[in-house]
Amino acid sequence: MLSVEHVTKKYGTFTALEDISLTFENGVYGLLAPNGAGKTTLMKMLATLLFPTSGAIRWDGRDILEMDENYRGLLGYLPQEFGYYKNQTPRQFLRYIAALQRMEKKYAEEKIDELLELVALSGVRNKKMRQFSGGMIQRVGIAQAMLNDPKLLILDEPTAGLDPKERVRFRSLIHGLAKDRIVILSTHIVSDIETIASQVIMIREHRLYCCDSPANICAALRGKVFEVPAELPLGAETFLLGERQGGRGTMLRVVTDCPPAQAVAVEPGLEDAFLYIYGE
Amino acid sequence: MRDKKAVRETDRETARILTEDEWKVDFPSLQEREASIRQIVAAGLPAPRRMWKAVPELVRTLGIRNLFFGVEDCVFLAVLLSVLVSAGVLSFAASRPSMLAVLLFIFSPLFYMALHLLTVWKEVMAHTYELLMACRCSLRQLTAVRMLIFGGMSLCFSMALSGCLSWWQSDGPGLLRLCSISFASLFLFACLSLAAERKWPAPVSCLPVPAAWVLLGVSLLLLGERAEALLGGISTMAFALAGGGGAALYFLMLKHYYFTLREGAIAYAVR
Repeated sequence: MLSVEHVTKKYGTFTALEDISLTFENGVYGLLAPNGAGKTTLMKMLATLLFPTSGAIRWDGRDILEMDENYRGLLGYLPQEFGYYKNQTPRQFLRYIAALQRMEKKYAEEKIDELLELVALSGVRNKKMRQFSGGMIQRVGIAQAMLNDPKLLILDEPTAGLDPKERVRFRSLIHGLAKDRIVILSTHIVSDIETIASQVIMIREHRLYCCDSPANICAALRGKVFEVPAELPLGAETFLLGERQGGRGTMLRVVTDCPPAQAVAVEPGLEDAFLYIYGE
Repeated sequence: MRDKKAVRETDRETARILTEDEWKVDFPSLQEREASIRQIVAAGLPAPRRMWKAVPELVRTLGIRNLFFGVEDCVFLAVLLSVLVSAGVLSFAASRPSMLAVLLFIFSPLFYMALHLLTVWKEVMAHTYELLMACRCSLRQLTAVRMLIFGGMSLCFSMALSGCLSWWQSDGPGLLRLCSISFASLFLFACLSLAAERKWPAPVSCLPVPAAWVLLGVSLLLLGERAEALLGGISTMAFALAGGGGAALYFLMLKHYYFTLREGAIAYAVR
């Protein structure tokens, strides 16, 4: 079990995160927040790349900084900007990461073949990565993060650069992996989190806003989200979420306590909650 | 009254039975006791961290190929750069034989500087820095081992350069003096680099010392004969001691660098 206990992170006088407390158990946790809210700072602290200014992060009760390489050995990490060596093949790169993770050679070879198959890169395993598309590189990144069969998988923007088909594949992959490990992923793509995360963590103004299931987060808006024709004037208390082209012309999606007569109630989604919480 | 007496009798009986049971307890053997003590002590006291044990173990685990994985081109460039600059230094020394010590002092750390800067620069440019810092064997440990190897390679480079200069200028300072100057300069630079890495976060920490060394080099070259006279006033023994002391300090600082956990992030939050 991973626990974040009253963690604050400051860069000089700037507070990136303040008094964050969270507990993680096996499952998928989605980290949802706008840019600059402190998402990446939290991810980097969980990956021991940044240290808390105050508070502690513990794995099964032990401080992760004291655990040092023992903690990093059970960690799989995909940074926001995944780096690779262009002149190396995915197989060579994964062998290198396996060595740095101190994996046994024979087991590493088996695992590399298995993972390249899983991320659909086995056909290009011996091709130099300079020829790869962004999506292919991201898949190499996902494979390297899973190489040491981590107990904790931290994925910072893992679906960036993946096409819709690859994203669906990725979601089912993560879903299968989360049975016996903690998966924490941050993304701007709300639909990714809505589909696979059992818990959604929201950070607002550098503080923890909530950590709850997508259903519970959406429930707070139930009965308040409506679609209204675009021609209709919006009241002062109405919060505009977006618009879409419907059969009756352009429809506005709004949050209001006093809907007009022509308004049609709709089921709130996580994206509605995200826009409402951060747009308020 | 009778009850109390009965209780006392029962207590006495119990005490007698317990005493007999106690005599039946199998006490642990001396070896078992020693093993238990060792286990408790091992759990309570962290194992001492020894560089001479950790580094060979890391090299065995990774293998030489993985030690320089992805940065082979940087090693090649550093060798090329050092050979070219050394050729320049030798030709300059031929035209200005009086500047021998100054030239050697300035250019001895060149190979180390080039190797270290190029490899760190490559990891940062390839965006592999943070990823490797989060691995079980972190980039920091890898860099420490690389620096140790770079130190050894630079030592050979310094000896070769000193040997060439000594052979070139047979009437100039002897090989021992040139080697002493070279080693003192190399380890002064290496220790300052490690001190900077301790003070500032990477990768910015890699820049101040090379920048300061370039400034120092230009100043010494501009001072010319006066700089040579200044170095000439320092005895060979002083240079040798500085070289030896510098090497010892370098290994101590490298040990600290290897074992101390530092923040490995290079990109911070959007502010």
